[in-house]
Amino acid sequence: MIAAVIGRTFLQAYNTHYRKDYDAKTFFDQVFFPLFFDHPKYMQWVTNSPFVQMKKGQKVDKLTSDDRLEKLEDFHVKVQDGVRDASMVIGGSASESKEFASTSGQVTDLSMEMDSEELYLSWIGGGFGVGVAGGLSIFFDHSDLLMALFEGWQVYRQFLNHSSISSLRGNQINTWNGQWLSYYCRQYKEIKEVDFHQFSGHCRIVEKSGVLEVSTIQWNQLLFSMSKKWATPMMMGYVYSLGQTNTTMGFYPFQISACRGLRKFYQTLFGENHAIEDAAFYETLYGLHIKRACEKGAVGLVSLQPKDLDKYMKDRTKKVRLSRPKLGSDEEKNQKALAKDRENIITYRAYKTWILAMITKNKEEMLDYTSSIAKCLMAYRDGGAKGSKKRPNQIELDLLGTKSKKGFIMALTDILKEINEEDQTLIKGLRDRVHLMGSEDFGYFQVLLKFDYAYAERENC
Amino acid sequence: MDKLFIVTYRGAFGFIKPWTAVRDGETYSQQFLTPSMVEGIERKLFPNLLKESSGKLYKISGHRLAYEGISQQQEQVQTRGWNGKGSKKERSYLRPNSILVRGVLINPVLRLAFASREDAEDACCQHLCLARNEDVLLPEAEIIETTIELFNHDPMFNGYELVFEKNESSFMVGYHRGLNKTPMYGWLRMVGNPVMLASDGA
Repeated sequence: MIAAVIGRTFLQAYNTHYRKDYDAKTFFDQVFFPLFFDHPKYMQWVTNSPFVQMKKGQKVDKLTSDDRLEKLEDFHVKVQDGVRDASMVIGGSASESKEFASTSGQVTDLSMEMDSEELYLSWIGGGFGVGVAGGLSIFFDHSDLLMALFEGWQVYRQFLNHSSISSLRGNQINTWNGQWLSYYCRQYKEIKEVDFHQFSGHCRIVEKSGVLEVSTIQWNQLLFSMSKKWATPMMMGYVYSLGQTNTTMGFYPFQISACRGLRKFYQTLFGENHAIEDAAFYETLYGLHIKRACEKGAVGLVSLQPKDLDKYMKDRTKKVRLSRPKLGSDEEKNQKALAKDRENIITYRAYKTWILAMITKNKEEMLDYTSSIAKCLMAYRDGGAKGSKKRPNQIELDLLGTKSKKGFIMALTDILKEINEEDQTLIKGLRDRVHLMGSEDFGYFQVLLKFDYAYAERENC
Repeated sequence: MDKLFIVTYRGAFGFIKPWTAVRDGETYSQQFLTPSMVEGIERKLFPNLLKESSGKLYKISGHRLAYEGISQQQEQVQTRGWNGKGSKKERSYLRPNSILVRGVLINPVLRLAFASREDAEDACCQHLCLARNEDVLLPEAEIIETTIELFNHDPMFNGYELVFEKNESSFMVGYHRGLNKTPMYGWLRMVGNPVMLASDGA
């Protein structure tokens, strides 16, 4: 039913843009059906619908044009007969003509008669689900975005019919929409002609046992792409999945400004060049699973928490290694090691950016704060007796490995006794700051310090 | 300056089923209240309003819903009616089961804003529930006096509020049962941090 709302938004935008006056059925007959179903490869597979119900011996790719028109006719007849189950209405409830489906208790007892206009709209809207990794799709009720997706439909059809990529799989409209939207948002000019190589350079099309498949985009990558195109701070999205049984996450604000914020902050911290060069990698680091993201109430900065940060939060003794790779004479090995090292450094930068964005209100003041603490600790470590493990352990285990604020402050006090006056002010300031932090903030802060310490260690070598 | 009187309700759980949830295997709770729900809450607190016409609010001038997180809970559901099976002599009837995963709001906090102190005092001694009867929310004794301006911006009144207007950022949130099934619209206002995730006790 939400699909019908989306369909209505789109049809209005379509009619305005192309100066048409289509009602839903006309649009379905003249544009939607020819695009989605009137080919040997469908763009969408709607279980049990007349388009996928085959007579004996029929197969989708063997259907003749007449066969397909017959299926369309069947569909129209069922619409007129008033069939309104899930095979006919996108997002509808299961049929109850013979017996109650096991999920029938979930369906409202409001008698909702649906006219045929609404039904056709649900099909049109159903084509606009934007698929993201995790098996869920998103509806955005936003006419510009829907028009962009409509453009993508036509490209998908071109690709499906293209003789040189005949192994491209059909029925992937939602997945396609996700990749296309991301592609569209990153191309600033109007897209005149899309060639397959250009497109596949941007998004992943993978081969699985001889079949080409569009792979599903991560929601965080999509959000980063959208933040480049639309200046609005947020867009409402409806997160769902339709299948044997449905999944309804519901409506969530997608705070695309959070991505812009992170990008900008990254730039302030590490410079414009890094912000651009690292983007392709760091954008993939951010973001929890879409379901966990929804649990946070809004899909924004909090949900963009880097996936692997949690393991440092849970296990405080976990070490961070950022030391430079040892290079040998084997050129290939060196390349690999350097690439890995680059990833490590970007990961460090991405974590730092996110944590700082999370924990502090006056970001500017905090930019160099943890780095200078880390340098100070490094100086303290190197000032100890040569070969002694006392000071390194004190920092790595007592200070950065402790789970409690109390342990942290106690370790600081021990350190404070043995450092020079200049650094004392800094460490005292740190003690006061930590004392006032909430426990969650403290966790983030400690991880940040650990990373900065590892980085200082690297620079020191 | 227009005064508002805020009553705070707290409970252990809340579940608000989205109107789009049909034949689901998994449903998260909606994190905002729809117009018809607020109307229902109002009529529960002030039963004398039941005779007034539907689709309007008389006492509640705003609300805010916050929670600590979402917890998935499995629940058994049954079909709507009995399914018959077998021939005349051996005919049997049963209601098949299935499992539904609900994402339930943990520790929801609902704040209701009233324009008059009497109404707030009246509401302050009653309980209410979030969609399901078992999700009881109990009132806090203290009534907070504030202004509309503060209520809409101060992080102290954190939470989601669906503002019942139709404008550019509005979206459809369901059909109004009492109003001949007309579609309801609204836009989402967020104040402060609506989801106060319980920290992991570090």
